[in-house]
Amino acid sequence: MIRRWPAMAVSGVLFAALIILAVLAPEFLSEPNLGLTEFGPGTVPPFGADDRGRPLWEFAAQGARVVALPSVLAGLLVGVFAAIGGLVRSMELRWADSLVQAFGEVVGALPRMVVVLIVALLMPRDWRGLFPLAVVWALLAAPGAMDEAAAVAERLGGARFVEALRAHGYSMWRIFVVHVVAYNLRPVIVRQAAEVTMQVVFLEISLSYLATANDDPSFTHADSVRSWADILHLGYRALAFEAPYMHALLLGLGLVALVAGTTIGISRAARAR
Amino acid sequence: MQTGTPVRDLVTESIPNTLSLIGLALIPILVGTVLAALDVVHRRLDPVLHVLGLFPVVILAVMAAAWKVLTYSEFGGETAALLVGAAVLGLADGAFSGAITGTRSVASAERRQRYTGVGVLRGETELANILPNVFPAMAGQLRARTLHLFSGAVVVEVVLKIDGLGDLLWQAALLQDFGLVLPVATVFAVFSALLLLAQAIVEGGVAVWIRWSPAGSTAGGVA
Repeated sequence: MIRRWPAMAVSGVLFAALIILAVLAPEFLSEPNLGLTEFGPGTVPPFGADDRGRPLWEFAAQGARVVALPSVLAGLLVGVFAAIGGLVRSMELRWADSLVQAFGEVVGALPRMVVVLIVALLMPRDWRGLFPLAVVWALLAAPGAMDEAAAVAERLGGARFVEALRAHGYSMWRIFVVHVVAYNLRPVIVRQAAEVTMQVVFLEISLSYLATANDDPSFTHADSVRSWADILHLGYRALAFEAPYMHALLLGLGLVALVAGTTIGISRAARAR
Repeated sequence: MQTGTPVRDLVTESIPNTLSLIGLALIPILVGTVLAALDVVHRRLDPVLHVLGLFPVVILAVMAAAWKVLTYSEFGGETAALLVGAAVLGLADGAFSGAITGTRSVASAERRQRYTGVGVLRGETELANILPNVFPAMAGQLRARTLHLFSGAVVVEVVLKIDGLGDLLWQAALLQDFGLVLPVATVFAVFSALLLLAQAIVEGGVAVWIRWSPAGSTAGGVA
């Protein structure tokens, strides 16, 4: 049996670290220090420096700011969609169920990355950022979340469960919001929302890494801003060319682990009784 | 990407690489699916599988690219890139672990059904009884996983410098080349349609199998 409080505490601390990092992010990076010969955390605490002597914590903080709000928004959006999916099945609204299924078939028919790239291409240059891509990702993930929530609602008894609670004289709010969503759909809603939050962070890292590796502008943030992908690219240089940036690889992996740990913690806390 | 090359040539040259990548990546997924259906993967391995599935494709692709550069060179080792890229795709983002846990949850739900127990009492195997019922669900899962591989292929191809459709789409998106993006997206859509068709054929085939072989489950058993 999973205990709720430890999982909540761990995920809360990790999530707070992410948010604090985003809040502390400087608008611009420090001036390069080209005279630097040692780049490790010992020389430039706490995380070391990049190849131009700029502190890596600034990269980490700017990256956190790039992903924090859009990823959380995408997660919330998917959570709302999952709740709607569960409620639709509980109310036995067959037309809405069919509509959700048709939506899912259409949306789920194309690889998500292909859709995201096409949307990124169609976006006006002024709109460039992670927000629209995160919303698109959330919409693409929504049918799966709705489907899973609907399956849970069906296992619960669907309309018969609602009918039984009505017979007890419960109000609609108490039936649908408290019993169906909060008590029974909560684990699946929270897990889906947390997973999509994590996926959006990884999407940003992927898109930025592909751009960084080829010296191209990123679809997800302005050129003046750095993301976690820049840290990982430094780490790649440490691995492939034995450049002195192993600390960057560790930091990049640590940031990925921070996001994954937050997701696991939140999902477990929601599943616990 | 070369300028002045006909789009048709670019696309047709890229398709085999992407299909090879996806085909090779499907091997671990299919192995995982079969092992899970046979119920030979111990549940104690679930935490390991879970951790393995957490790695995003970009992280594993970066590691693989570094290994390729160290072993070959930045622009060499095409076959190695393809193989290691397929391994990355087959493992990252929960592809392998999801294949095992997803198939096992479908199969174990069927194993708990009464008809399976009755079949076993008649001397039949569990698998022969549950297979007609789990096959459509497994086909659906496999289609979703293959689509997921196409999505990850974009990242793997760009990071590992594999000349596939994903790399082509990325380059076209960067250059805002609609003339190239549209055909590549169309090819992806055609692959998706073919996967849907394959799933429908499997489901239809299973339905025919069940309809025309009411005594099929007695094969090798006692009627």
